Amino acid sequence: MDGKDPLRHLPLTPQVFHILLSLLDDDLHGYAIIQEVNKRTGGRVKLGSGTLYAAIRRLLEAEMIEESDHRPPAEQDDERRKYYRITEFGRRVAAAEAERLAELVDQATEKELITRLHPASSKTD
Amino acid sequence: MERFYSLLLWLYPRDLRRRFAGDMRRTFRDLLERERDRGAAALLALALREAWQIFADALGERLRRVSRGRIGPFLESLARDVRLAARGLKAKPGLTAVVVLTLALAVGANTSVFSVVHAVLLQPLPFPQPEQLVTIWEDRTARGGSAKEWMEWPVLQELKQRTDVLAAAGVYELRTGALNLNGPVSGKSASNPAQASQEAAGSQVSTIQAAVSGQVGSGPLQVVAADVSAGFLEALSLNPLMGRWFLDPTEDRPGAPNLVLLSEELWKTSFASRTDIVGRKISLDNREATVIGVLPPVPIPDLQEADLWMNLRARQRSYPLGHFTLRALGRLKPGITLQSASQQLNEALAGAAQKDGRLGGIAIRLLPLTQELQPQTVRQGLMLMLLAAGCLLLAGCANIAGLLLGGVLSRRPEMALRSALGGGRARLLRQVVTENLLLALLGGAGGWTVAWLSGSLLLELAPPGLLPPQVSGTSALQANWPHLHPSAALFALALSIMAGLLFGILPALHLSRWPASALSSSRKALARPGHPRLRAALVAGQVSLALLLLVASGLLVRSFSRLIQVDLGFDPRGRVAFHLDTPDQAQAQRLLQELPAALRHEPAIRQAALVAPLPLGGSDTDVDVAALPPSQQAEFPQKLRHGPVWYRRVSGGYFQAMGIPLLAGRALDEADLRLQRRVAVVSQETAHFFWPGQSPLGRRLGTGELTVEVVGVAGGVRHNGLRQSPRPEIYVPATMLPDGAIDVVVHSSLTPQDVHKLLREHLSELAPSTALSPPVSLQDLAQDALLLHRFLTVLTSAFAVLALLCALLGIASALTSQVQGRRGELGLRLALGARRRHLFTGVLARGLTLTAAGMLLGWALSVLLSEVVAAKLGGVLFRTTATDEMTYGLVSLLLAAVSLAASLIPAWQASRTDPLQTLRE
Repeated sequence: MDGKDPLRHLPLTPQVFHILLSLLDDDLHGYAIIQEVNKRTGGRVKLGSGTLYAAIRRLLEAEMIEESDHRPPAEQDDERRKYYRITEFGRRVAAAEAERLAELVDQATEKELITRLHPASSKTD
Repeated sequence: MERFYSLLLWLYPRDLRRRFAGDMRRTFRDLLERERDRGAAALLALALREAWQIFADALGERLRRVSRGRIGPFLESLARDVRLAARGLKAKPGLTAVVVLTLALAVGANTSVFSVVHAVLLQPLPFPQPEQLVTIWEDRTARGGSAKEWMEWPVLQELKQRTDVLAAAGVYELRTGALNLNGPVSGKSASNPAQASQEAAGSQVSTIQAAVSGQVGSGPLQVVAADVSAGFLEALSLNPLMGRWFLDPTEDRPGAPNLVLLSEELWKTSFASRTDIVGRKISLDNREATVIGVLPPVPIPDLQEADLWMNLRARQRSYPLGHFTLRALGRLKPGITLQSASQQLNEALAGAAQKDGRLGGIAIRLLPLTQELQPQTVRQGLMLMLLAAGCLLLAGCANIAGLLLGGVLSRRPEMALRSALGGGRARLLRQVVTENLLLALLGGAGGWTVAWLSGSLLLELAPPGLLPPQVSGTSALQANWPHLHPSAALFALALSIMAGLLFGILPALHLSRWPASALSSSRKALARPGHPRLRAALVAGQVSLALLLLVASGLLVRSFSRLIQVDLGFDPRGRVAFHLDTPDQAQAQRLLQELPAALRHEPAIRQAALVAPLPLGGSDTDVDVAALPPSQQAEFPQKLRHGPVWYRRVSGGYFQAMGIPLLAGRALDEADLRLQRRVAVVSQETAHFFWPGQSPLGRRLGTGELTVEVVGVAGGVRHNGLRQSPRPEIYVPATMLPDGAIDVVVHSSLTPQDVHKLLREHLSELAPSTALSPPVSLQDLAQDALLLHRFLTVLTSAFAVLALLCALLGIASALTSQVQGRRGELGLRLALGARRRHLFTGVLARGLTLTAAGMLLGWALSVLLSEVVAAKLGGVLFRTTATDEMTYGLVSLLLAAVSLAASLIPAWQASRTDPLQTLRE
C-alpha cells in the first residue's frame, strides 16, 4: 500500500475531500458522514446518498478508506449500517490535498487577492 | 418515496446493488426523516436531487463497465446506429416533424413550469439555516380575534425574557408613508457631495446631501423606510455590507438617537457608493439620523421596497399593548423544533398572563418563514401546474406512441429483411431504441427552445412577487429568467429521455418481434394495421388526459369568472391615489382640512378625499377596540367583547370618493375634521360584531385612550384580497390623530398625470414641503389581486388546448390508419352492396366510441382526483367545487365535438373507397 503515490489522486473533488476529513476522527456510517460534512461546513456542502456512495465506492477502490469492523457502543450500534474507516494511505492523500490547497491559498495571498491572518501551517497532521 | 428510491437502485449493476443497496436505503431514510419537517417542497427537492444523482451515477458506472476493454467497438456501433436512425427519420419527414413538435411542446411546457417551481419552491431561502427562521404571530381566537394577528411589543418582550428557544428575534414595521430624504434641510448641510466630503474630512458629524434625482416632479426625494428592532437582522443573519446592526438595548428604546442603515441601492444611487458613509449624518424629514451601515437587499417581499432601515423605537414610541403593527420574526436555536418552541413560548406566555391579566387568552403561533414567503395559493397553484404539465406530457407520449405504431406499418418489410439477413433481436431492438431516443432528444432540444422562448411571456404573465427577489452574492435569479438555471436543462433532458423510452417501448417491442419468416407472407399481410386494440387504448388514454386538463382549466376559468365578480366593497374605476407626506405639522394640519375641498372645486374632479392607510395598499393598522356602554367613558373594559379592528383616518367625502355605500346615519364631513369631533363611521361588520341585530348609531367605541361616538354605518371593504371577506373597520376624522402621511384619493375623468399636475399646483400653495408620490390607480391595485389566478388559468388552459390537439390528432391518425388497413374489407363490402353512408357513419361511430371510452376513463380519474384536489389544492379554486357539474358537462360536449371533427376525414375517406381498385390490389 505504501508503494502508491498519493499525488496520483490529486486534485480530489470537494466531496471526496470532505468525506476523508469527516473520517479523520472517527469511523462513521453513511448518514453520519453526510451529517458531519453538513455540520462542519455550516450547511454549504450537502451530500446526497447518490453522490456519497459513488464517492465511497471510488475511495474503497483506491484503498483510501475501508469498511471498518470497529463498532460503537452497543446501544448506538445499528447492525444494518456499514462503518467506514480512513486508511493510512487515505490520510496521506488527504494531507497532500490539504497542502496543495494551502499552496494555492499562499499564492493568492502573495498576489494580494486575499489577506490571511495566520501564515499557512504546512502540515495538516 | 422509499419504494421509488429502491426502484431507482435497480439501475446499478447487480454486484454494487448487493453490496450497497441496503446501506443506501438506510441513509436515504435518514435524509427523508430530516426533510420531513420542512414540508412537501423540501421532500420533492430531495427526491429530485437523489433521483438525478443515482441516475447519473448508475449510468456512469454502467458506461464505465461497458467501455472497459471494448470502448472502440461500442462507440463504432453506436455511431452506426445513430447514422441509421437519422437516415430513418429523414425518410419520414412528416411523422418526424409531428413527433418532434408534439414532444417539444410537451417538454417545453414541463420545463417552463419546472423552472418556475424550481425558482419559487425549491431554491432554499438565501439565509443561513433558513429552516430555523420562523414568523411569530398572536393567535387571538380565544378573544374573538383572528388566528394570525401581528405582534404586540410587550408580548414579544415577555417571550424573549421568559424562554430560551429563540437565538434571536425582532420585529419590523412598515411605514405607510415615505420619508423625505434631504428635504428642506435645516442647519449645516453641505450643498454638494464634493463639499460634503471635504468638510467630512475634518469632522465626522457633517450632514451629507443625497444626490436627488429621478423622482417625479420636483421636491424632496421620497424614500421608503422600514423600522426594525434590534434582533431582527441578527435573526435573519443578514450581515451589513459595511457597518453594523442596531444594538440592544441601548439603541432600541424610546429616546435613543436616530440611526439608519441604508439599502445598497440607495447608497449607490443617492450617495455615490461613498465608502466613508458610516458615521455620517443624513437629513430625514428635517431630522438628523446617523448612518451606521449599508445593508444588502433583504429578500422578504414586504421589505424589498425599503430604501432605509431605522431603529424602531427611537421615535419616542413605546408600542403598548393593543398596537398590532409589528411583524415578528425569530431564529430558533439549533436543535429546537417548531413544536417544542411553540409549546415553550405558550407556556411562558401563560405564566406571564397570571401576573398581567391583559396577556390572557393569547396563544403564540410559529410559522416557518418558508411557508410565509410561499403562500398556500402559490404553492398549491404551482403544484397544480406541475400536475397539468405532467398530464400534457403523458398525453403527448401517448399520441407519439400511437403515431409510431402507425409508422411501424412501413417498417415491417425492412425489419423482416434485416432479421432474415442475420440481425439478432437485440441488435434490431437497439436500432429502434436509438431511433426513438434520437427523436426524443430532438424533441427535448425543441422543448428547451420552447421553454426559452416562452420565458419572457411567462415572466410577463407571472404576478409580481411570485418569483423570488434577486439576492446579491447568490445566483442572479430574477435578472436571468430562472429557466437558464442548469437544473432546468437537466430536467428537460431527463424528461425527454424518459419520454423517448415511454413512447418508444411499444413500437420497439412490436417491431423487433417481427420474424424473418414474415418475409414469406404476402405484402398484404405485412401491411395490416398493427395492434388496433393497443392504438385504441392509447387514443382513449389521450382523450381521458385531455378531459382531465380541460376539467382543470374549466374549473379555474369558473373560479376566475367568480373572482372578478367579487364586490370589493368600493368602486376602483376612475380612482387614482397619491401618497402625501408633509413633515411640517402646521402645513399638515392645513392640508388635512383644506386639500379635499380645494380639489373638489376643480371642474374635472368629481370627488376627492384623504385616507390613511389606503385600501389594498398593503398595510393596515389594527387597534384593539371595545364597545362601551353609554355610561362608561374612557375606561378600557376587559370583560366586554373586543377584538382587533382596522381603523382608517379619512376626510369628508371619503365614502363618495371611493364609492363605498353608506348604509345608515351620516358620513364624516368637513366640520367633523375642523372641530376634531370624536365621531366615527363603522363598517357593517363592526356593527354586527359589537351590536348584532341592533342599531349602532349613537353607541360608543373605545380605541385605547380615545372614545368615539358612532354616527354612521358603511359597507364592508375587502382589503385583504378578493378571497377574504371584509373585516371589521372604523373610520375616524383624519384630524383626530394628526399625521402628515396620508393618501389622497381622486375620482375624476382626467388621466393620472393630469391629476398629478393639478395636485402639485394645489400642494405648492397649501403645503409646499409635501413630498408627492407617483399616481397609483386603484383599478390596478384591485387587479393585482387577480394576477396569480390569471397566471394559473392561462397556463392550465394553454395546456388543456394542447392536450385537446393531441387527442384530435390521435383520433384522426388512429382512424385513418384503420381505414387504410381495412381498404380491402371496405371495398368488398361496397362490392356486395353496402351503402357508402353506412361506411361513413361506421367510422364516425368508431371515433365516438373511442372518445366515449376515453371520457369514461377521464371521468373516473377526475372523480378519483377531485378528492385529492379538494383536499390539497382547494385553495386555488374560488366558490367552485372540484366536481362542478356545469364544467364537466361543457367539457364533455367539447370533447365529443372535437372527436366528431377528427373522425370526419377518415370517415369520408372510407366512404370514398373504390371497390374495383381495392379488389384488384
